[in-house]
Amino acid sequence: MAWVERRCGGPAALLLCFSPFLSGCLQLSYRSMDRFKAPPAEGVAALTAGMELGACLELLGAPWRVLELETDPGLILVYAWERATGWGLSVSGSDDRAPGSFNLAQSRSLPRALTLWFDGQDRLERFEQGFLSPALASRLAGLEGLRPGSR
Amino acid sequence: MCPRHTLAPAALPTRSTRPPVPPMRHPLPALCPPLLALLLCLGLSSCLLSQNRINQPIPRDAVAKLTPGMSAAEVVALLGAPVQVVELDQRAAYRFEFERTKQTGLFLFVFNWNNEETSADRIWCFFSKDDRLTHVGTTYEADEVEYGLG
Repeated sequence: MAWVERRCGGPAALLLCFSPFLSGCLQLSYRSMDRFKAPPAEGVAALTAGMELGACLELLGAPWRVLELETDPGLILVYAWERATGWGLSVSGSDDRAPGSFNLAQSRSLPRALTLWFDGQDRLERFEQGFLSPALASRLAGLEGLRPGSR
Repeated sequence: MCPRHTLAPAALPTRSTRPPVPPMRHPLPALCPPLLALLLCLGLSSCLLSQNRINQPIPRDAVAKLTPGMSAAEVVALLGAPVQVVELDQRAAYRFEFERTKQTGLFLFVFNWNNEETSADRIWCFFSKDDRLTHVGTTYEADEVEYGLG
């Protein structure tokens, strides 16, 4: 027993310290997520107003979504991608008399979008790159995937 | 042979006179405590690799056969049913998509590290008012998705 006391004092203390972890009382987590890829930067740099739809598709590839304009016969191409990260800390107690838990989490999501507006003749009117706007996201509601960000 | 078996019973050492037995050394002490903790951690760790695919892969040779002027029916015959049809004024656009997600997880003691990466092969076919193929946009990224903890 003396040997146990002498030699395992460290591990015993170690196990005592780790016992909350072993019982699931404490959890740390980190999560990252990437959805889709940004269109090629050289393609975006080559965009100019007045370009034809086919030329834009050649430069950027297939868009994420296609929408029609509400007022004009033109259309909107949306290229969207997202990078999200988050971490969390969870502590819970197992005492039936005084159960409790503490959760702390932080997440950061960067849904980005490149939006192209075309007129009725399929000519590029304008384009905009930035966060996926809530207005646009609301039109895309139900189409799964990216969440709106703030401009 | 043990010496005590060679002696006469009278000469057997008494309990009090027996030479002290050296303390037996346990194999674990050499592992304590850092290595023991490491082994404990390794024993409690696990990893996860999973892959999720939505829809069927889009055959590239079929996409290469798309030519302007084809009817929507011909396009569908080549690529299969679209996942989305968008009515654009009097025109239409069809979306064909194959999505792949790879998830990597590492559970190390109390730490849970999870990474998820999603990419897609996507084809948009634009049709004119008379239902003829006018434009095609293609993106092939599904094969680029990788496992990792990035």
